This record gives sequence, structure tokens and C-alpha cells, in this order.
Amino acid sequence: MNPYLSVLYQQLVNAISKLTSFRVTLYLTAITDIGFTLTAYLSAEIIFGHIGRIGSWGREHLLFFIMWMQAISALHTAIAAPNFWNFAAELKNGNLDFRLVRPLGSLFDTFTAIIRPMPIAILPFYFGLIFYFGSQLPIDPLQWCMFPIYFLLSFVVMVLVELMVAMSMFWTTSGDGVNFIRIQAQQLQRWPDFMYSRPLQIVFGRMIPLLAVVAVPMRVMLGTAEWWELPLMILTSVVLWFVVAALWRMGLFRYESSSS
Amino acid sequence: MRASVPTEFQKWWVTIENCFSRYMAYKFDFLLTLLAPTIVFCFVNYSVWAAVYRLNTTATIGGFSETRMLQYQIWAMLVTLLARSHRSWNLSEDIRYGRITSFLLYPFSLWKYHFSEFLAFQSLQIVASAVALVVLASLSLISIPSLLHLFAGLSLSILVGVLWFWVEFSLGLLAFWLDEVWVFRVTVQLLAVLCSGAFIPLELFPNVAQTLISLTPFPLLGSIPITILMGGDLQIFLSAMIQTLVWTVLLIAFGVFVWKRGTKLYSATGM
Repeated sequence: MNPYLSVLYQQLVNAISKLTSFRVTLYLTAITDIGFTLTAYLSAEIIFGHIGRIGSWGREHLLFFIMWMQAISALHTAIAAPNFWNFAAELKNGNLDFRLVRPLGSLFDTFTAIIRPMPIAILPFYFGLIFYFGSQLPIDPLQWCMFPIYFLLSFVVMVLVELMVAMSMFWTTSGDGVNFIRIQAQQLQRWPDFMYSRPLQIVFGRMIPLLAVVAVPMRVMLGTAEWWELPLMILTSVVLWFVVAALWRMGLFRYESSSS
Repeated sequence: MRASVPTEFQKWWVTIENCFSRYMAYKFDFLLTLLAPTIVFCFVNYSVWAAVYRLNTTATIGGFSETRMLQYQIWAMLVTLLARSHRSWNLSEDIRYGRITSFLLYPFSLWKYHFSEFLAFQSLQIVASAVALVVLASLSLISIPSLLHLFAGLSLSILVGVLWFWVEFSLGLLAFWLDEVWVFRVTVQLLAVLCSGAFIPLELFPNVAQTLISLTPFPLLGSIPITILMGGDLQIFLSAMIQTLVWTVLLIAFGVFVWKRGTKLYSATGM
């Protein structure tokens, strides 16, 4: 097996073993995830209890969007989120040193160090809701076939943007504030891009594709996207990858270990 | 032997000073931690509600005009800054890693240390809120109904901040039993955002939900102080203060109970 995949596999096995040792945490995490979805769902229901539509979007559009975002958040919580906090801590306490000497890509090792399996287990629940609300919208069957690719693209872009933000921790020394900014960026993503002002749509939709994460693939599925939106998102994700890699190298060059 | 009042005061003062120094060690980082969540929350809420009115050509929603709703969101930000910003992040970690052992020996208990930390944080929040209030009022983004309303709303928010401290502290103490306490904290935060009316005013909720929520302390975290700050009936101020005190006393009792039970379980290996 590819060494990177085997590391990921082992991380997952260890995480499952730990999770099943602390079962109360397991149940609580599941309850929190479902509660998160419920509050998002109720917010939309309460708003649509008073209005018919928001622009061209009805209740089903918004709920389809919200559930897609929830599913990505779950995957993010499982694979990415704990590692951003861990990275901040390791920069401070010098444990990052140990990652630099391992026979693995240091960026990969740093950001896959911790896995929370529970949100992955809840993913089918989210996919069920996505298909439930999506089936009430005029979506072509071919677009449904493409859904896994769109979903992965959403996730990749979201993580790449956050990685780019996280690289600034090398310069701020303490990374808690940067992590707060990262979490706030997620708050922006929880509502469709057309709800923000035009300048914000350009800055956070195209230049930094925060608002495009779900909005663009969803528009593509609905057949309402401009022809260039999806290619631009793919191109941006490639550019982001190179930016993250460059920032990582610059950050490591600046990094002064506190442990040695 | 019980410490004299000046000695006790000195302990509190020195601890608050130390917390200030710690917060200020990474100034930019702290500023982000202090302001970013609330400002972005307000910004998102403001944008969402502005879009709801703009894209729907609706004059009022549940009795809220667009101007009133947007002012509501800005007041919600100020109330959140004062009432719901503190987080006892380190407490659960300190318990898990056995760092609280020293507090069992110090002549300054754990809750006093954390409350001092809260006071230091809260004083910075008050300064940040005051600056934000002046800027927002001078830009005419909010209107202040009267100084009495302002005083009542802000003092209630500050008192609710104490209630929130005990919520966070009590949840942190559950680390005596649980590996990860963050799940409780996140759940309460989520409930607080929805049920406090900080995003969607409680008046827009179905009647049954409004009745159920009114039985909980959640309206104190948002809806009630905002109503007062927006010129609502001042008669609710007194009852809100009493409610806040009652809930705080209940949470303190819960915290003391959890602490006593938890310290019986606690063992710090290698100390």
C-alpha cells in the first residue's frame, strides 16, 4: 500500500480504537453533530415561515445548500479541524520538530495527525438529507452522478483556503487567533454567496473562493451556473495548492523550534 | 486561617494583572480572539438579513422593518461581546493533564483563578464594546433610545456575562469524567445562538417555541438585553436581573457540587 495511505489507515484505526474506549464522548459527538444540523435546519425553517422566497431560492434550495455545507463540515471536523488546533499547539511547544524529521511529507504529516472518526460515521445521514432536499429540485440525473466529484471539490477548496490562512501561524506565533479567523470563515460559507454584497462576492467568491465552496457546485447541479464558474474554481484550487506549498516552505524557513 | 480583606484583594488583583499580561503577550492573536468571532457573526447576520429584505421586497417580517432588524443585529453583536464571549478553554485540559493539583495546595482556589481570568477578559470586552458603541452610534447604524435604556441593557449584559462564566466553568469541570468536554461547550453555544434570539429574534419563533424558550435562561443571553437596548419596556429589566441572579446561583451550586464530586475522583499521576 502507498505509505501515505497506510499512515492514514493506521491513524483511522487508532482513532476508532480511542473513540470506542471513550464511548460517552462518541455519543456526545454524535448528538452535537445532529444538534448542529438541527439548529441550521430550524433557522431556515423559521425564516421561511415568514417569507416565501429569498431571491430565486425557495426553502428546498436553502436546505439543500445547508445540508451540503453540513456534510462538508462533518468531513472537515473529522479530518481537518483538529489538526489546525494541533498545528497551533505544536508550533508553540516545539513538537513540530518531530514531524520534520519523519520520512513523510511534513505538510501531510502535520495536517493528518489527528482523525475524529465519528463525523465520518454520520456522513450517510447528511447524504440522505442532501438527496432528500435535492430530489425536490430540478436536478439532472447526470448531475447527481457527478455529485461525489463536486462534493470532493467543495471539501478540497475549503481545506486549501483554511490551510492558506493557517500558514500565517508561523508569523503570529500563537495560532489561536488565526484559528478563530478560520472558524469565522466557515460562518461566511454557511450562507449562499448571493446574500452578500457584490464586492464581497468578488473578494470571497472568486479571489479567495470561500463563498464558492458549495454555491458554485450547487449552481452547476441546478444548471444555473455561468460556464466559467466551475473551471475557475478548479483553477483556483490548483493555484491555492501551490500558494499553500510555498507558504509552508517559507514558514518552515522562519520557524524557530522552541523544543531544541 | 482566613486571609484578611487586603491580602485577599491583593491576590485577586495580582492574578488579574497576570492574566492581562498573558493576554497581551500575543496582542494581535488576542485581538483576533477577542473581536473576530463576534464581529464576523454580526457581519454574517447583518448581510443575511439585509439580503432577506432586499431579495424579497418585504416591508416587515414578524413586525420587524428592515432598519429595525439590522439595528437588532448590531445590538446583538454588542450584547454578545459582553454576555457570551468568555470561554474556559484551558480548564478541561488542566484537569485532564493534572495541572489543577497546584490549585489544591495554593491559598487561591481554582474558581477564583478562573474568575480573575474572566474579570480581566471582561474588562477588555467592556472597553472593546464601548469603542464599538461610540463608532456605531456616530455612524448612525444604531440609535440609542435613552441613557437609562443604555445603562440598563449594558449592565444586564455584563451581569449575564457572569452567568455565562458559570456555564462555561461548570461545563469545563465535567472533564473530571469526560475525555472531551468541547462537545458540551459547542452544543451549548449552538443552542445559545438559536434560542437566545441573537440571530433570529424570538418574536419570529412559533408560539410554542417562544413559551418553551422563555422557561430557560437563553433569552437572557440575547433577546432580553437587546429588547431593553432598543427601547423596550424597562419593567422587564428588574425581572431579568432577578432571573439572571437566580440562574447564576443555581449554576454556582451545580459548579460546587461537580467540583466536590470531581475532586474525589481526581488523581494526578506523577505529582
